[in-house]
Amino acid sequence: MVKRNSFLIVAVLLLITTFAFANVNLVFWHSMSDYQKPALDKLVSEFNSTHPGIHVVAIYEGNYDQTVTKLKTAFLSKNTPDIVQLNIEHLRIFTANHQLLDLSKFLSKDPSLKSDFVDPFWKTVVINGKPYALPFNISCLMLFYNEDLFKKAGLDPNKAPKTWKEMEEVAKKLTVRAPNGRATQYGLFWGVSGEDTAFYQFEPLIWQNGGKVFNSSMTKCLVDQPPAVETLKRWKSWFDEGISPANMNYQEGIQAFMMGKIAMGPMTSGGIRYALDNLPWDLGVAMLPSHKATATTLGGGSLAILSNVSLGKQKAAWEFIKWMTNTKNTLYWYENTGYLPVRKSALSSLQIKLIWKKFPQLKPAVEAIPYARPRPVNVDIIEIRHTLFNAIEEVRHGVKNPQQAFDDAAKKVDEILKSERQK
Amino acid sequence: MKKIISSLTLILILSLSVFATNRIVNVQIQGNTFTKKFVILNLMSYKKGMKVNVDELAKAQNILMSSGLFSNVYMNLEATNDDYVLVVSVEEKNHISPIVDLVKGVGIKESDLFGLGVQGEASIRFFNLSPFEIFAGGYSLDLSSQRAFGTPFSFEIALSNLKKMQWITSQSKFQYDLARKTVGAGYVLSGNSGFMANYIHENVSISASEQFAVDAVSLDIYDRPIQMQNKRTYAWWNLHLEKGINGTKYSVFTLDGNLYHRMIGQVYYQARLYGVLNLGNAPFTRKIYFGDTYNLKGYDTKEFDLPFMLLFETRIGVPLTSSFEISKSPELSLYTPELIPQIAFMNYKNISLESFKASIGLGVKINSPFGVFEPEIFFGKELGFYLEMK
Amino acid sequence: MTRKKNLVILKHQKFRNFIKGYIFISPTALILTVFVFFPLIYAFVMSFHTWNMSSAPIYTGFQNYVTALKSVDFWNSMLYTSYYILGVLPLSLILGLFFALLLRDSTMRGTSIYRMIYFMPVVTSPIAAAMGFNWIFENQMGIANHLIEKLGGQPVSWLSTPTGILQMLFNHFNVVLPKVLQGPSLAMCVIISLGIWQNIGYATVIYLAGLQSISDTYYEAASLDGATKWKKFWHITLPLLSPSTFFLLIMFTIASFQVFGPIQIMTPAGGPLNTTSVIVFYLYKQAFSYYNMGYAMAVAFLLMGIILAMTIFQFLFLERKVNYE
Repeated sequence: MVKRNSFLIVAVLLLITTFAFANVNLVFWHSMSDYQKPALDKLVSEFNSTHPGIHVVAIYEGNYDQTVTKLKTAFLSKNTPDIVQLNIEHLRIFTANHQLLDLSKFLSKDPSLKSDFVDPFWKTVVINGKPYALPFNISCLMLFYNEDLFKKAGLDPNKAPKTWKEMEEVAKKLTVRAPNGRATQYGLFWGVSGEDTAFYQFEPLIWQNGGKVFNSSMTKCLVDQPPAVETLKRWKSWFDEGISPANMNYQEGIQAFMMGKIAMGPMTSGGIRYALDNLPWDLGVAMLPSHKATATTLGGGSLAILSNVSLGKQKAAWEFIKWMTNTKNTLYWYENTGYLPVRKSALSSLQIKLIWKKFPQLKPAVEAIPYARPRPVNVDIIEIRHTLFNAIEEVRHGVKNPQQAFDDAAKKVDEILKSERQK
Repeated sequence: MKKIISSLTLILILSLSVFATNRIVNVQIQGNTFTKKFVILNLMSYKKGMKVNVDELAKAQNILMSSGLFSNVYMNLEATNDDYVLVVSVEEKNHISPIVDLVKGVGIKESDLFGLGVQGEASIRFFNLSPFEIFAGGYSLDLSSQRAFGTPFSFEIALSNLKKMQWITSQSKFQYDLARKTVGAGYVLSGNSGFMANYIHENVSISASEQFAVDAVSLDIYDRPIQMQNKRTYAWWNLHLEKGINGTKYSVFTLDGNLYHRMIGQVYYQARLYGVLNLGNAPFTRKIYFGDTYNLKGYDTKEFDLPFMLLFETRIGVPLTSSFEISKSPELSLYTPELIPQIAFMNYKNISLESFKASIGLGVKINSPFGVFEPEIFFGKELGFYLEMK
Repeated sequence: MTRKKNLVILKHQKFRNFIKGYIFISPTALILTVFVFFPLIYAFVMSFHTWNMSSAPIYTGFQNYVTALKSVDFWNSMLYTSYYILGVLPLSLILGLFFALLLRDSTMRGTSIYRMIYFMPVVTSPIAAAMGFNWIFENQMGIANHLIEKLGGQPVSWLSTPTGILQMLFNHFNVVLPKVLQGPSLAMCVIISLGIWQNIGYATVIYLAGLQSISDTYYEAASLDGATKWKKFWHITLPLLSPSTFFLLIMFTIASFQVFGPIQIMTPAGGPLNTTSVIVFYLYKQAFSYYNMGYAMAVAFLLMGIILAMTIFQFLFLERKVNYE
């Protein structure tokens, strides 16, 4: 009798404890749409099934820029999620007002964790010496090219251009003109996006030319300096020489590339799997061609916990973001999207070699990591990038000359930087 | 920056040199709640002390993935002293699915029976579609495996007793009961190509007075790519040879060749060439005729004893997502409307326009958690409805 | 005594009626206060602050207004807005009237079907309509370019050509016009055509109603005097339709000032060289891309002032010319 009673009491206690401690519900906002969403959803549902005490609900909140807007609004209405996927470049917008949780306390308990993250990736989440997120979907800019068009032009599809000069020569060969002189196929389109992640594709060109966009303290914009202006001139010459389509915006350029009317262009490695699944021709992926230096841009997102989350939830949220970025899952994510693995242990793993056997196009992105640089960031970075984007558009459409456009843009950006410091 | 480059290259060189010499002394399997460990080891063709070879392991991973038992396979090496332990984490797929078939009826399929990597099927036949009738009678049982217990040996044991099968020709129209026993064995050569031999015994009764038995042997040779996710175009084929024994004298040769090509996005084109050569007078249950659910549809062409026939089928499919947008990845494809034109050539005694038959079909592939349903409707000489499950 | 008492009762009743009235309007008043007046006042206050939605707002006086009025981008977007209005208004009215005259005869076969068809674009959501126009004018996959190419022409970059259409004409004479005279860019023209397409149906319906209220006696009298069809239209129809025209003018002006959806869908980056970045788009970008909330609110109040001024102007100077029957 006593035995049975004690058993019942224990059972009741167990039930209570499971109800009290087991169900931590976490809301996770992310920006992964389309083909990336099934992969993310699969990871989240696997986490939920392997972690009985925690339940994560993943909600798509639009692209990175839209997520920033929604999160800002959520803070005003005090209706914030617990975990959010933020573009590494947008972290500062929220750390400036202490809205993200400093992860140092968790990392100090897990000393080996920090050192396993790939160094350049780790740097993107550290602000004023404190880590505010874990790198999750990091990509770098790669040169995508149409192997079928290479073969048609008598070029070796395994040999992508290595320098700007080579790229220009190859692009000339890949440009096809109708008898009336009109181009039916262009060799190159170095399209620069003007919306989400504006100016992303132009920054590595400046770096490759030995230049910089900002000084190291982020107080001055350096695009009016010779390296950047020269870059802009060179970029403009690709349109003038007719190897790139003059009147096409970024989106139209991507469409034309997909239709096989453009042979080469810079794209993010996060789109490799999408390209392999959707393009109507064989895709080649290579490092961006170098000029005075070899460089490519890091972009992408990270997983952050909000600072207003309760202690119990913080632990669960940490468990989740740690799990999402562990060696096995970062490789799954890499295989299914093209975003780079964020762990050193993943880069040297057996699985990554097995993935390369299946998708050889994923390999060059990993080889590009040593040359990948994070973009300089600032609270007002979105407005700054739009200003710079407008400047190169003015040059492309022949409204201003390169020096003039970048002089004006640098002045404007300096003003934004100045007013930001005054706040 | 230089430091990072050098350290990374060091890691790469180290890992490569390490892999070149060391051996796998043990394998740890994780995540298999159902499938037995030895089945997985067999599928991987693991031998104790095998050298770490990326090509071999990639092949093993491909075979595990193509076995249909797992949705994800992750491999990892853990160092122990000088050697390695291979850790394989698998994610199991749902292995029980329903059967809906116009011949077999309704049943259940277990693709991983007792976790042994063997497929078991059981179904009950109780309806005919045209004319529609429901009756008592008929079952079929099937136990088979392409890679039995993970080994490259294949086998099949099938037992069926199907009542009220229909046979309609221009001369006659009757129902018959068919009891069939099949025993077969085969071997997978490499990847997904191999051969399989079968012995078939049939007892047919059309009425109490009209009964006979058929004995035959057959050989199948097939080839199918094992890793096709990263390919835009791939082909697979199956060659079937059958010969009557014990007094039944006939031979049939069948070739079934398929080609898949992804055009743009997930939109695909699929072509199929299906040819049959009949030699001798085969009993009607062993005739490989058009009119079978899987072949020329929209035509009831059971009325012949043709020496030769050829079918060319093409399909254009547009995979759509749950919100009916054009799908961007295989995972997002839920409904795939298909347009299926077919042309067939049948060698009657003299070739005429009658020798050519054409029909056009509309189908939709539905990816459900239980498998792929594929209802199709064909417009030919007659209107035909077909339902397949894959 | 009784009188006094009555008076009290009357007063009491008056008071009760008074209260009743307020009780009846209170739900609406509450909703309006919470969702319209409060945000309006809050926005007005914020327009004197610098605020990025995260940090605390800083009071900066009239600085936002001064910055806006000094900003080239602000005036550019005002210019693009006026292009839009000048493009949409006359054509919507003229075509609306044209179709109304065609559909006037209700004895014609299928009139109701035609009326429905012409009204369809009005009830189409601007977003869906913009997506449809995108389909037509896309550079690579658009139907327009497909047809042009089939007919042997050169594909046109409808949505990414920044040159003004008037400048395009003058390009042949090698004349560069001042910016204000260059006209809307091709991308803007596409958006204008979408605006016209959506307005026609509305104008048609209003004009149809206006036409039906014109008494036949006027026309009969004019016929007796030997007036031609054209003269009847010019001297009877048009003047008597002027109330409808005036109403449409005000409605379309206010709506055109606020055009946003189609631009966000068709040229999400603000068009080539920002040539489709009309005032509301500019405001939206400042608020929700750059988080210059205070500045965006100042721009919003400037816009409100401009619309108010325009409407007052229209009432003061144009209403005189309106003929009421």
